[in-house]
Amino acid sequence: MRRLLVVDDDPMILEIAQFALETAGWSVLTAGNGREAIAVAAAERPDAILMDVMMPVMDGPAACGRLAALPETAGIPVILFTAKVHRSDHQQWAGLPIAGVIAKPFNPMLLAQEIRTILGW
Amino acid sequence: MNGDRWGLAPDLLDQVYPFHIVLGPDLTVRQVGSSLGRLSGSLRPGRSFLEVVEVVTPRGDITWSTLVTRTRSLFVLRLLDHDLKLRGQMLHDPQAGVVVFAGSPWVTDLAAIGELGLTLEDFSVADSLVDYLLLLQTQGTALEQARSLAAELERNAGELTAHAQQLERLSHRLESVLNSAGEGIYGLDQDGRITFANNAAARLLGLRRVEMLGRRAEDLFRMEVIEDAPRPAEAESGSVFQLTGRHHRADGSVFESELVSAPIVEQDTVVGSVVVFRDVSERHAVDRMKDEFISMVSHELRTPLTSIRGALGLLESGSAGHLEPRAARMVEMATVSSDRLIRLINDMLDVERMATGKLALHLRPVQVHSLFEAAIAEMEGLADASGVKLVIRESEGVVLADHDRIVQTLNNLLSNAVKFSEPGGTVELGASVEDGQVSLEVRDTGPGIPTDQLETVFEPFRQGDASDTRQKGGSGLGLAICRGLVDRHGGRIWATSREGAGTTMAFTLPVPGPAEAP
Repeated sequence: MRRLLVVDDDPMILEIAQFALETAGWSVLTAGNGREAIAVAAAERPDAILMDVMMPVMDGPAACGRLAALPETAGIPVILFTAKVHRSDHQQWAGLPIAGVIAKPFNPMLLAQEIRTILGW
Repeated sequence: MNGDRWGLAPDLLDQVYPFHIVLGPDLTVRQVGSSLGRLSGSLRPGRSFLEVVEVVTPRGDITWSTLVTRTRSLFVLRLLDHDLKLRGQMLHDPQAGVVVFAGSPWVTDLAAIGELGLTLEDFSVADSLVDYLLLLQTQGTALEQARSLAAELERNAGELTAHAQQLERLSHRLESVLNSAGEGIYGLDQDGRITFANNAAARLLGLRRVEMLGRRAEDLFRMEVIEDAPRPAEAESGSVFQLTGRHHRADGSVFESELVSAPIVEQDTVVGSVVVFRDVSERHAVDRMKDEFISMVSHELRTPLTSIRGALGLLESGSAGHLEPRAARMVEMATVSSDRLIRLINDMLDVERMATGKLALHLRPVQVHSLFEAAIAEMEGLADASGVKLVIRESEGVVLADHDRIVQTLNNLLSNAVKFSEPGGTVELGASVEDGQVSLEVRDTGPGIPTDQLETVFEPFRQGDASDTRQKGGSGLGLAICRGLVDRHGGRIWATSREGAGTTMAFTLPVPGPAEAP
């Protein structure tokens, strides 16, 4: 069973994403900001991380940098999960160590498929 | 007549003095010079001299002895029957017993000769009067010329004064125009010294105008250039340029600025330049606020919509429990509406970013086939749901394009094509290379677009029929965005259609140049 860490400061979005991915048969961990995400990721070693951009304490891009730098988490693919972009405007994240971008709002029934497409699962 | 008795034969006398008069001792006229005789009807031999002539000078009684004794005096005679005055002297010939008046007309300019009925022929060649008159006339002409020259000079001087006043007025006006401008304006000579500066320039730079004049601009302030762009229109001349950056004042303070410099050309020679600059700090602040606002809208609207759309999607899927048919219908309507709201927000942000030039393109050589495949991957779900097949007919060519933006364009076109296709229909994608560009097509078998709307469908909020917008769930901005994106690539987009026989949406994209080959 795939284990995903979903990181978002909006609890409703966390809940919906968790519900959607669990419906797809995956196991879901959650975190409310970048710092929590690093702690959970280092402890639980999920298969992938779905990471919001704008969050308090530590934002998504900063967390991506830390995750890539930490030996325990460096191998975990990160997908940005953001309302800051829409559709195909992904160039602004070109410098980040990420596997892809999924724009919010998202269709919960297609979320697992989008993640599979990006990660080649 | 006893002319032969006084030495000089009468005809010879007449040649020398054509205005002579010969008088006898009884003061009768004995002989009259030919020219004088022609003028006066009364001055004839035999007439009494004093009856036809008034002696103006000398004054007093004129007697024979007067005439005989005053041979060294000037005599001025006036004919009583003519305006003519004569001037001359009396010669006494004791042998012949006559007095000869030897003289000529007293005139002061050549014009008077004509007025008296005389011509130069009437004068003796030796008569100095003619030379004198000619001399006078020459002098008169010269004087007249000098006078008119003087008058002209005076006129010119007047005009010069008027011109000078006009120039002064113009210069005042120019100065007030310069000083009323909000932009800083100053002139530089070839050495970079300031030749003029307006009030705004002094104010923006924190200087006084008198401090600026004659000083080198680089000694007074400094511009830190961030962007250096030749103006497209003048780029080839290379002499007009536009800079964006920051001005550093002498006191160390800084303002964000834009500057345009243009050469001052006098008689084909560049003698300096005029520089116009402005403080754009405020405008940049407004731009930043606008960017922040757009970013806020995009984030703050999408975040709650994410929850709404997510919750509805899960409800609709039945994952959260089975819904009664009427409840499922309500959820479906809410889902469709929230999707529409999301598209509308996205489209409006795109339109806004295109309008403000914020939409940056990342151009690189791209295979048309990969564009088609990416677009189909995104639209397949919608097509399947509508029972429409997406087919790549041909995908020849490589284009110089922003991959994501062209996929977005194709998605808009495919989405329209699918929405307007009947279930079981096919939407075809095609591409062909021609004339150094690639033409891409999306072809459907839908109801088509009326001929009079083929152009207007690309305008914002202009779907073929306003009710279609709601029925088909479009924002009314999709084709306007397509046109904007294709325009930004330097291509062209158009629609061809026959009502009832489907629509073809076509657009062109440039091919990569040799330097951009993949």
